[in-house]
Amino acid sequence: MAHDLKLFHAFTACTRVTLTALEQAGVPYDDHLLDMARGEHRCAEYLAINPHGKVPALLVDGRLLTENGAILRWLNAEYPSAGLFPEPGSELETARQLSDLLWVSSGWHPYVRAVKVPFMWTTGDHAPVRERGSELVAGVLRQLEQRLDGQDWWYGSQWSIIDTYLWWACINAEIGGFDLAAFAGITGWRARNEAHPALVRALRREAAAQTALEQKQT
Amino acid sequence: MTDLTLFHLPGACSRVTLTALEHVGVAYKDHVVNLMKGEQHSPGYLAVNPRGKIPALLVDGELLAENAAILSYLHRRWPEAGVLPRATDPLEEAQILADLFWLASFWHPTVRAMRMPVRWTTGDPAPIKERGRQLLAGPIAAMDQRFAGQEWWFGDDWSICDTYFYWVCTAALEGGFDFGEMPGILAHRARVEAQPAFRRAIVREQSAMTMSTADGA
Repeated sequence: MAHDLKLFHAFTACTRVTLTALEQAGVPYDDHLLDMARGEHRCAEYLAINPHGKVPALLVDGRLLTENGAILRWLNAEYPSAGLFPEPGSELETARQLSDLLWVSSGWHPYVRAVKVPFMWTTGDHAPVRERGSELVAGVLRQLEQRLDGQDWWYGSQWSIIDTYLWWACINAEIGGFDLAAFAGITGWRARNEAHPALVRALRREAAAQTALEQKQT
Repeated sequence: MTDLTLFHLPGACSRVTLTALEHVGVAYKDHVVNLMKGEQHSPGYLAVNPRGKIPALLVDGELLAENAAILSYLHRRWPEAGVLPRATDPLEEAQILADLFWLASFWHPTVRAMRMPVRWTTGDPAPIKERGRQLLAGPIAAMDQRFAGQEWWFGDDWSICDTYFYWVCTAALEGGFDFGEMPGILAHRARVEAQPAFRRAIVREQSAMTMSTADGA
């Protein structure tokens, strides 16, 4: 079924994962890159679209869908041939895919925030928050390394959108100063992610939106 | 028949999972994981859930982790119980799921900053707690407004999101958040506390704690 889709996203945000999912689905969509530096996510116009003032937000035929994990599950249900997740063999397996998404959104994502933008978690010194964030990220990275031992992707031999979500978390920790080199087991997986065509297209789309925004400002 | 075992700790967010199980009305076993004694890191528990977190549900011996995933599973497996509202189309189903993601990914880590600020720092917990209070103030005021106009999270009927939000507020309260001027939230809390499945979950927690203490004696 053809839907009218519009994604609200932000430069380098976890919306990269949502963009990748849309690219993987291969459906046409509009996008609007919010100018976070100028607080566009908190202006009345955007709050009228998404009262939470967050990204990603996807308008589906004018109806709002928020939360990255929920958007990815909806895209998977709507465009099953995209292979965003493996075909589950049971209701329990479906729930375990959801569990993996929640692990990233409620674990990895807030941990990475402590590393990359520690001021989000404190009104005081950044250093002890970043240090704690690094401990938390190291803990989940070890679990990722263990899982990838002997397999190319999170679910085995096939890419899934979980790989892109985890990749996004890893590189954001790196942007925050976390040294990924200590985790040799993820090096190959990271390269595979960065070569995945839908991610390549998503980053191109994001860069184009960012360039357009910068041109508008000058 | 499905064999279910929940690993939980009285007072933790597994209270929400227990409420969902009680609401479904299915038989289940439960096992207390004493976080104060570090049992989540014990080899025995790591064999159950390698991530060392609760809640964890064993479904016919297979692990299902993450609270919201368990809640969603219980709803899909026993849809007539009404753990979540009945969706009229796939987008509405995703919107309901988005609320679970919001509770798990925004509310839960944010109240952690208030109740257990040491989880977010190696230093002084005070500025973490203060930041948690700042982050919660706006969204809690918005929820207070919502509950001034409707009884439950989704409107007329209870759902597990009400219990989850109640738990989040309890954690904020324990962290020192002041709900004094929030009649909507306070009335919502009273409704959640009177809900039968919640009351049964509390009783189950109490007996689990008694048995767990007896085990350890």
